[in-house]
Formats: sequence, structure tokens, C-alpha cells
Amino acid sequence: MKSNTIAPVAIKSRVKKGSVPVYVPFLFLIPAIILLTIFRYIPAFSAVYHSFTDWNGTSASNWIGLEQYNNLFSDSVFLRSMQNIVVYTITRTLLTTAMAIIGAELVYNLRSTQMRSVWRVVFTIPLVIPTTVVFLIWRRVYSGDIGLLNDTLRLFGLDGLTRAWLGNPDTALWALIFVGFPLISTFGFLVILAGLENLPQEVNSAALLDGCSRFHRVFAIDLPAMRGPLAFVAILSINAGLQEFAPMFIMTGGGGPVNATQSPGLYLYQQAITYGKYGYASAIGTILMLVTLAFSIFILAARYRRAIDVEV
Amino acid sequence: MPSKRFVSTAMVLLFTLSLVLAACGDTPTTAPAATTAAAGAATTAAAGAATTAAAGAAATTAAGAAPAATSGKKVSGEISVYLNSYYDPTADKETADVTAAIAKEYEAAHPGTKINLVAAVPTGTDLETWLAARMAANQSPEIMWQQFGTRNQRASTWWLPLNQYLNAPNPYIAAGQPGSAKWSDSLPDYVLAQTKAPDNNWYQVSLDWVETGLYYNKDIFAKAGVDPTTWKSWANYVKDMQTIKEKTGVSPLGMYIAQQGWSNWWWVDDMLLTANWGDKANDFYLEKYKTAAAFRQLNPEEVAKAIIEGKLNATDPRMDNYLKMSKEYVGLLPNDYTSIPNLDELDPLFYSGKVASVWTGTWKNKTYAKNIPFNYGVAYLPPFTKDDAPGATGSAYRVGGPSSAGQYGITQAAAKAGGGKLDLAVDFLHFLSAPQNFGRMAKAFGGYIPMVKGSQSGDVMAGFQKIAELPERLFNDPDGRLTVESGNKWSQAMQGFFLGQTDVATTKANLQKVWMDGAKSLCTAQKYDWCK
Repeated sequence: MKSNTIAPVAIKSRVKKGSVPVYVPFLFLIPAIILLTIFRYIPAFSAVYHSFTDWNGTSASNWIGLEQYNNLFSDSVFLRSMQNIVVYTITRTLLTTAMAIIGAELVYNLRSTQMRSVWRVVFTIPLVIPTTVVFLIWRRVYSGDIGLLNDTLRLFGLDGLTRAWLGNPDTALWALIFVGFPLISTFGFLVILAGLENLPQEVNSAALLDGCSRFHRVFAIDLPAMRGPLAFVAILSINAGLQEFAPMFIMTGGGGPVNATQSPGLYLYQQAITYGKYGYASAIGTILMLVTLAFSIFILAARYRRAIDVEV
Repeated sequence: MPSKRFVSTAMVLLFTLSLVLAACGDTPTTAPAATTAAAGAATTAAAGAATTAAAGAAATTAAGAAPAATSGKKVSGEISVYLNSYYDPTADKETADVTAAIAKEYEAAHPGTKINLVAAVPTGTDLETWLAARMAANQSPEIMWQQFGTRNQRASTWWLPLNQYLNAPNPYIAAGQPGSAKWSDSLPDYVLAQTKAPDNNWYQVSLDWVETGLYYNKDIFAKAGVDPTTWKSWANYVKDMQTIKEKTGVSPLGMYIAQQGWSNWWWVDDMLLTANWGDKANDFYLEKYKTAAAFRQLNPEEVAKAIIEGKLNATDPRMDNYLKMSKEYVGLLPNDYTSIPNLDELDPLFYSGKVASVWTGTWKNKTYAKNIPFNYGVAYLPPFTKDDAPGATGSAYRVGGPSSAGQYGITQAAAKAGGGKLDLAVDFLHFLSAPQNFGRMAKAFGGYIPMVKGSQSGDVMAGFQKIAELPERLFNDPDGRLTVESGNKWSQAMQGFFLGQTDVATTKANLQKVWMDGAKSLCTAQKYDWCK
């Protein structure tokens, strides 16, 4: 049977072959490489180097070998911060990804293109609010005496459930995890929605003709086809989560109470800025960098081990 | 369409321009209220603040010599100066105008000089970040404010020791007046003793001190039948506050405990430690720091030595009573006392009647007079009796000290810059700290008691004179007792105790570890001769 394939369209280059020397494109990369080197690579290598010193940020440093790392792994606050950040990152990544999928599927399945556009805008607008403002608003939402959450609970006669959400070690970390609830308005929502809209419509139509329900199609077709975008969203979310600093800093006064919301990023900041222990802070940064790198490699490896179906 | 393209191009250019302008601006602006709050963070105390001002004023009148307009020293160039609440045009234009006028007078008397007053910088821990970056780059203002506990921690890495200047004359103080022969004479002895860094240097001049008081809602207190003027003991006061909670359902006291950095809980902590260890003060004092005051605040070296020698020990039975009193007091606080982020966040609770009182500082005077929508008064805490704590000395203690806006030092950036910047910075600081100049600023602001002899406090501070006459606390705030880090760890250990994570025995052990680690760390850093 003759296959009915479509031949790829040849794109005609606007630049004549041989008219531009081969090195020219590399010249355009030089500014980016210089900036990357100055603001990314040098600080990163400097941090690794200083993690083996007792640098205080201003004076000359002394080489002390692995002492900072020895201290780090016997520092209960640092270990607590690692535990917190793993819980925070995994839970928040799962929640935000799940909610982004739900949000994207709901919008994608709207029949009216106008309504689809409206909802896409509705879910996107909150993304333009500065995150600092978001954290300040949520700090007030969780406030014990004048907080929206407790006021709402009291309104429904649920006074017994009211509490100091950020002041209680049992609830503080979870309160941070749920900041931004229902967690739909995220970058992940946009990525997944874009991925869904790029899926070949013929596959969807065929599935529906074969009697596949919309709900079943999500698991049978959409999610397997979205492994690329999902891996992308997961990597971004995990990277951001592991390095999280702002909500702990803004909402819980520096990782409290009793380090219940302490994160390695915040602990690094405190050691460097508050105590002038730049060497110790550099060791925390190096560990954090390695952990983030390991997670990213793991996810990328898992993603590339499987077939790549759809690219965003 | 061409018009569309024009609009979009214009928008892109405008956006780019705004980015460039934003990047070029070197003076960030922040909420003015927060700036003043930062000035109040972490306090210490000393007795007789009010009397100093009065004595100095009398001295000026008696002598009658006119102060000099110039020092006679040739200075030129340009410096930046950050004066905290004394120059914050957004929050307090009246005071800012007075300060700006003083700077202009200086420029007029010294042609070729330019004084750039920095309007606002970030506050609290943000200030530390802001300063850390500028100090590392030698780009900080030449004359700068920093909270006294943290500035002593940074010491000579950031600040220029002022000892040699304090021992020399201040040419702007009229001949015959305190300070004209030796600048340090313009400040009371207890101020100099209190502000000396652990390495025996002075890194800033302490031109004013703060006071604190219990600002209370008269309506709520009356409803509960509580009259603060009848408080005779700490137990009496705590019982009355509990009555307020029972009868009105309102949290009696607006206070909070931060896990990191200053919180007004530290004042209670200082008080309760003082009440329980007050009778041991003489065992802790070092002879070399002796002043005229019989009961004064311990400095970090004295605390460290007492801890290392075992005289001050958190596992001592006295600490049982300290922990009992602390836990009892925590019951008076709002239920999210461990998550309220800063002092200003107590204001909405106070204004809305969710808390019946707030223990705060005099820098709030103007704000409260303008914003509080009910009758309010200012009270203070009663004495500690032997029944309250066996170690009590029978007195209430003052919570105030050099955590106000008038704490100025010269940064290492000025010393390293060359080009006469250091001479100009020293000369302008002389000029600013002369009573005829600083007195005007203090009077206009009205939130702090000026410490410069010969300057007078404004009317607003009159109500705090009685509080200022109380003896000072034996113990400074946790971050000023030993090190900033041990202060934060102390807070965290106490949070753990209040939240039920640790029992009394474990808490005492934790506190002792915090003290011992802090004392050893200070010993290592300062290399005191008694350190082994």
C-alpha cells in the first residue's frame, strides 16, 4: 500500500551560503558568554573554592579543607532545612503539576474557543503579580487574629479549626506549601496547555470515535504524550523548590517557628549575611547546587529513557 | 500597521529606559514607618538619660560662649550621610527639613563641600544585606547608622574606630562646654560604657537613646476594671493582664517572638533574667568597666567571663523561675506570637482592639498620636519583688538605650577612599553632634532622648522622663549579650520551650549550650586576656 506521507517543506535560507564567515555567529554569542562567565560561572566556582575556607566576606580567607562540610553534616538546623525542603519541593511539585494538568485539561476541553481564551487569561493574570506581594497577602491570610482563613472558618462555625497557621510548627510548612491555592495559575499550566493544544487532533478524534471518553483520554493519550512538557515543568519546579527562600523569609520571619520552615537557601543567606560566615554559606550553596544538579539529571535521564513524543 | 508598530516600539523603548533608570538609581526607597521601627530594634538601657539632657542644658546657659561655625580645618569634597529617622522626608518632613537645613549650614560655612543626605535605605535584615554589599564594595555612605549590637559584631571590618577622635576636641562645641576639649565629654559616661564594643573600641557616637512604654487601650482596660497605676509587683501586673483576657476575650499584650532577629519579646527576656540574677550583679561586673552607677548593664565581655567561669549558668535553679515566669507571660500574647513578623504588624492588632496594649518604643509617638482611634495611655511595668523572683532587687528596670536613630559611625569606605573624604566625614560628624545642631534635630523628631550634653528633648518625650530614671537592665537583648548568632539561638530555644517541644530540663541544657558556645565564640574572636 502506498503510504500517504507529507514531504517536509524545504525552507529557503535568506542568507546565501558562504556569504557569512562561519565564525560570525560565534561573535554574537560572545556577550552572552562573557555575562554568563561573570555572573554565573565565576560565582559558582568561587563558592566551591570558598567552601574550603573560613572566609568572612571581607577579610582574606584561610584554607581549612573539609571542615565546613564536617560542621555542616553535624548541624541539626541544616539537616532539618534539607528535610523541610525535600518535603516542600516534592509536595509542591506534585500539587502544582497535578493542578496545572487539571486546569489545562479543563480549559483544553472547552468547546467554545472564546471561553477557552477567557479562561486562559483568567488563569494567567495572577502570574503577573510579584511573588513578594503574593507572599505578603498570604501571610495576612494565615494570620491568627486577623487572618482571612481563620475568619472564614469562624464564619462557618468551625472555630475549633482556627489556629496560628504560621506560628505552629505542625502547620507552618504546610501553610507555605499551599500558598497560591488552588495552584492552577502557574507557569506549568501554560506549558501543559500549550502542549495539549499542539497534540495532533486526529488522534483525539480517532479516540473519541472509538468510544474513548474524555476522562479516559486524559490518561490514555494526553498524559503519555505530554512526558516532555511534564519533565520540563518538573525540572523547573524542583529547581525552584530546592532553592526556595522567599516564602520562608517573608512569611515566617526567617524559617520559624523553631526552624519548622527553615530552608537551605534561607540558612545560607542567614549564615552569610547575618553572621558573616561566607565560607560556611558557600559549603551550603555547594551542597545545594549538587543536589539540584542530581535531581535535574535524574529527571532528564528518566525523560530521555522513554520515547520522545511531543516537544513543546 | 505603522501606527501599531510605532506604539509598540515606543513602549519597548520606554520599558528599556525605565529599566536603565531603575538600574542606575543608587538610593532605594522603602516604607518610612519601617525605617523608624528598625531604629527601635534591639535595645539596651542606662539610667539618668533625662537628667543628662537637663544638666547639659544648664551648662550651656552658664557658659554662654558661642559655638564655632567652622573647625578651621580645610575640608572639601562630597560625602553621603544616612541619618535614619532624622532624614526621612516621606515619613517626617518636619524633621527632615531641620536636618537638611543643618547640612546646608555646614556646606555654606565650608565652600567646596557637599553633604548628600540619604533619604531611606532598606530596613531590618534587608539593611544588613544592603550594607554588606556596599561595605564589601567600599561604596557605603561615609557616615552611616547601624544597630549597635550588629555594628559591634562587624566592628573594624566595616567601621572606623573613633577612639582617637573622641579623645580630641570637637571644634563645634563652644569653648568651656563638655566636649570642647575632648569630644567624648559631650556624652555621659554610661553611654560611652554601654556603647563600647567588645574589642574596647567605639565605632559609633551614640547621640540619642530610645525609651519604651506600654501603650494601652484605656477603654479595654476600663472594661476589665484594670488600672495600670495600681501595679505594685510583677505578679500583680500579670494577674491584671490575665483579668483583661478573661473579662474581654482580648489578648492583653501585643508582643511577638521572632525565630531570627529582634522581637519585642527580648525586652521581657532581659527583664526576667535581670529579676532572677539581679542580686548577683556584683559577681559579674569587671573592675575595669566600673562606672558611677551601682547597677548597670553587663557588657559582652562580662557575660562571657561569667559564663565561662560558671558564675552564670542556665542550668542553675534560678532558671526554673525564669522559665516559669516566661511561660506565664507568653499566655498573655496573641495566639500567633511566634509568626508575627515585625513590630509594625502589631499596630493593626492594636488599632482594631485585638490586643489591649503594645509594649513598644518612643519612636512610635507621632504615628500613634495620628492613627490610634481610641483613648490610649502610656504605662510602664511595675517593680520585681522578692516574691516574684528571689534574685530581684526590688525595682522595675528601664528598657531603653542606644538603639535609636542617632547612632552614627564612619565607614571603612571613607577611610579607604582618600581625597579628603575621611576628614570631611569626621568634621561633619563633629558639626552634627554639637548640641546646637543635634538638639534641633532631636526636638523636631520627638521620639528619642538626646544624649549630647546641652541638647534638650522635645515635649513629646516629657512623659517618658520617669521611665528614663529607672535603673537599667542587667542583661542586654540576647543578640547584644554575646553574639548575634547566640541571640537568635536563644530565641529558638525559648520558642521550642513555649511551643511544648522541650521540657524545663532540656530547655535549660539548650540555653546553657547557647551561652557557652556564644561565650567561647566571643573569646575566640576578641582574644580577651582571661580567655584560655
